[in-house]
Amino acid sequence: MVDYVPTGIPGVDKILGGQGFPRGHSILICGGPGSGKTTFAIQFLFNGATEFGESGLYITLDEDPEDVKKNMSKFGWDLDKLEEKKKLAFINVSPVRVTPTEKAGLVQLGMKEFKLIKLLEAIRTGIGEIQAKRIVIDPITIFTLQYPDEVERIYAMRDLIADFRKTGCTNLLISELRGTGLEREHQFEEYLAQGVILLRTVMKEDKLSRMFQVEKMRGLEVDNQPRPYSITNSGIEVYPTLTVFK
Amino acid sequence: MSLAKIQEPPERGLILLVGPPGAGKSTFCHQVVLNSIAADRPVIFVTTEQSAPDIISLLRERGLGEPTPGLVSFVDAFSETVGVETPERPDTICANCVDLNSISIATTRLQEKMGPKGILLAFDSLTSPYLFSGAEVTKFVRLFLSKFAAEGNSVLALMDEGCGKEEDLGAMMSVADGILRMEIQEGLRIVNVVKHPKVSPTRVEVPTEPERVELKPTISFDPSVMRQMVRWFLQGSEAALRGEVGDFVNLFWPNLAHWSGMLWDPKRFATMIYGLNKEDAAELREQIRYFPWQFRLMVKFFWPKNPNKVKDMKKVVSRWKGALRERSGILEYLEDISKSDEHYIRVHESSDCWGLENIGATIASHLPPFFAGICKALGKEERDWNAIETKCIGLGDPYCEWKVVPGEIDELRDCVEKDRAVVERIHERLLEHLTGFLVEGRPLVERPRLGSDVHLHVAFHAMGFPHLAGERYRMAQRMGGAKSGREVSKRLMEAGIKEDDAISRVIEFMNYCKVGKVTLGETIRIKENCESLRSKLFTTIREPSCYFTTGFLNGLFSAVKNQHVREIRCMAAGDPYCEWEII
Repeated sequence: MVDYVPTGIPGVDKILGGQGFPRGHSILICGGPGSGKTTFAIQFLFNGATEFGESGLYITLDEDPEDVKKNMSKFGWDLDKLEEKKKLAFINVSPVRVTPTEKAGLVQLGMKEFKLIKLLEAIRTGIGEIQAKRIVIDPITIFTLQYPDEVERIYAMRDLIADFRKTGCTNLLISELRGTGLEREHQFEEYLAQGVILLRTVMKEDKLSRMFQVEKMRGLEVDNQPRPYSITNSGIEVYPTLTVFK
Repeated sequence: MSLAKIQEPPERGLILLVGPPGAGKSTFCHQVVLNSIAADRPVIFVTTEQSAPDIISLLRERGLGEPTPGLVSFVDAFSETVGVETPERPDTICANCVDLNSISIATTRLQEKMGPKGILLAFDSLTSPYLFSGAEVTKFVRLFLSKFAAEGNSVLALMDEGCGKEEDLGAMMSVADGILRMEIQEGLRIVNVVKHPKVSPTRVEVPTEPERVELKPTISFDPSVMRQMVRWFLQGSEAALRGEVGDFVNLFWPNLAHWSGMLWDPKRFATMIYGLNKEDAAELREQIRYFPWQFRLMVKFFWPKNPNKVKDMKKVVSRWKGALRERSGILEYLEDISKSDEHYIRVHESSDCWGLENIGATIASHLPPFFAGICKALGKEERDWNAIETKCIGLGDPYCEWKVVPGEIDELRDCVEKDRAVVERIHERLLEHLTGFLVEGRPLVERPRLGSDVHLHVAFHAMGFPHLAGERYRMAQRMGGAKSGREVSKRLMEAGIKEDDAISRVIEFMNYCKVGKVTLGETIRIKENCESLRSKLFTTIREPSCYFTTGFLNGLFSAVKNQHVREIRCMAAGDPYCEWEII
C-alpha cells in the first residue's frame, strides 16, 4: 500500500490527486530564479513539522542556512523554534561558503571532499539526530556540478536517489530550471526523479506571471495542467481550479 | 418591463453588458452592485479603469453607506497597472490588468473568503485587459468568468463596443447567458435586452437621475384618493385607505424605517425628509382643490391670511385638528413667547420622538417642517419659512417645541443633519425596544393620551418619500432595512430563539404594528403594506417600491436562514398585494 505525504501547501495536494507525494519518493522541484523553489521546500518541511508530525532535514549546498531562515521569516514561520524542538535541522554542506569559525550545521565539508559519500553521510547523521521524514536538498545543481563527466553524473544522481529510497524519507531536490520559456529541453534529473514539479515564470510586458505544473508524478493520478500560483505573505499558494492565461 | 428588474442580478449566469463608451454601462453596473448589497448578497468588484477607493466613493454617492464588512470586496486591477499609489485596504486585493492570471487569482482569493456561491462578480471592464491581451480575454471569459458563474454565482461583465475585433466580441457574447446592449439615441440612454435568463428581449429607457428633490414629476394627487383622505380627515373614518387592516399603524414601524434609512446617510437623508415634508405642506393650495367645496370655502373664508401675526398663527394651530386626529402629537401654540414672524409651537406626545427620551439630539422630522410649509402656503406674500426644534423629548424635555420663522435659520442645518453616533444610538434604542418586545413580550411604545398608533399619513411622512428623491434614498431605506432585519435576528439568536420561531415572531410583530396583513407561507405576502401604499396612492411610481420592507425581510432571512427574499409582486406595481419569494 502506498502511503502519501501531504504538502499542506494550499492547492498543491489537490493537484496531487488530493493526496500528496508518494512516501519515499524523490521529487525534483525545477524553477527559475525567484520562482519560489526554496519557499516551496521550506513550506513543505514547516507544514510537515507543524501539521503532520514529520521532522524535516534541510540540506543546503549553496546558501547559508541563517540566510535561508532570515528570508523565510517574512512568511511568519518560526524555524528556529522548530530547530530547537528538533523538528527541523539545517545542514550546511556548502562546498564554497564554509568559513572556519562558522558552526552552521552538523557536518561541514570542504570543496574537495564533497562527494556523494559525504553527502549521504551528512544525511544519515541528520536523519539519526531528528528522525527526519522529509528531506530537502537545495540545490541539487551544485552536487551534480561535482561530476564533470556526464555518465558519472547520472550514476551519482541515481545512487543518491536509490539511497534516499532506503531511508524511507520523502525528499525534494531543488534544481535550477534551464530555459524559462514554455519550450525547453528536459534536464537529465527529470528522468531520474520519481516526480517533477515545474515552477515557471513568464514575463508579459513588465508583469511577471507564475505557473505551477506537475510534469510527472510516478504512481499517482495528477493534474498535469499548468496552474497559476502566487507567493503571498503566508507562502506559496497554488490555484488548482484556475487556467493559466497568456 | 422596468429598469429595476434588469438591474436585479440573476442568481447565476454571466451577463455581458456592451455598448459604446459613455452609454452609461458603469452607472448601470454600480446600480446592480448596490442592489446586490442591499439584498445582502456579497459582491466582488473587479475594477480596471478606476481605483477601488474611487469606486467606493462613487458607490457612496449613490447610497452605499457602510455595508456589512466583508459584503463587498474589490480587485483593483487599475492602480498597479497604471502605477498609482493607493492605500492598502483590507477589502481590496490588487491585480494587474496586463496579467489575466493575477485577476483570476485575486478573485479566487476573495471568493475563498466569501464562500463559493451566491456572489455577484462585477467586472468593469473587460476593455482594458482586452487592450493588453487581445483574444486571450475571450478565453478568460470562457474559462474563468463563465466557470465562476456556473459555480452558482452571477457575473456582470462590461465591454466597450468598437474597441476590438468583431469576432472577439462575438466569441464573448456566445458564452454569455445574457447580453445587454446600451446605446444613446437622441440624448436618451437605452438598454436593449438582447438575451437574458429572466427577462424576455425588450428595450428600456434609463431615466436620468434628478439633480435635486423634485416633488412634482412623481407626486400625484388622485382625486379619489384625496377624497378618501378627506373622508378620514373630516369624518374620522378608521379604514378609508386600508379596508382590512385599518388606517393606523403602530408608530414604531415608521420610526424604525426612518432611523434605518438615516443610518445610511444621516446628513442628506435628513435634509431630504425635511425638504419633502415642508414642500408637501407648502403644496396645500394645490392640494386644496381636491377637497370638497365646503372645505375649500372654509379655508377661503376662515383661514388666516397672514401667518406672521401671533393671533393668526394661534388660530392656525388651534384649528389644526389634523395632528390630533392623525395622532402625531397634541399641539399647543405658545402665545406668551411668540411674536410677529417668530412662532413657538409645543407638541406633547410627538410620535416622531416618543420612546427616544434623552437620546441627546432633537428628533422630530415631520411636524416642524410641515408647519414651515403651512406658513409658506398660507402667506399672501411669497416667503420661505423654516422651523427648528428648540426643545425635544430626545433632549430630555418633557415635550417638544419648535420655532417657526420666515427665511433662513443659521443653525437649522446642524439641527436637521444628524451625527452618525446619534443615529446609531437611536437605532440601538429602537432595536432594544424591539428585542424586548420580541423576546420578553415587553410593550413596544405607548403614549398616555394618544396611544401607540398613528395614521398612515404620519407613517408616510416619517418614512419619507425616498423614491421621489432618487436612487440614493431608495438605497438608504433598503440598506437600512437590511441592517435592522439582520440586527434584530442576531439578537433573537443570541437570546436562544430558534430559526423558525424567530421568523414567526418578527412576522407577528409586523402584524402587531399593522404594517399590513402579513402572511408567511411558501412566500411572504403583505396585503395593504403601508410602504407600497404610499407609492401607489401618492406617486406615479409603478414599480416595486417596498424598499424598507424588502431590506428588512432580507436582513431577517439572510441572518436567520441564510436565505434571501425578492419582491415579485408589489401593490405599487399594480398587484393586489406585495409578495416576496424566498430564495
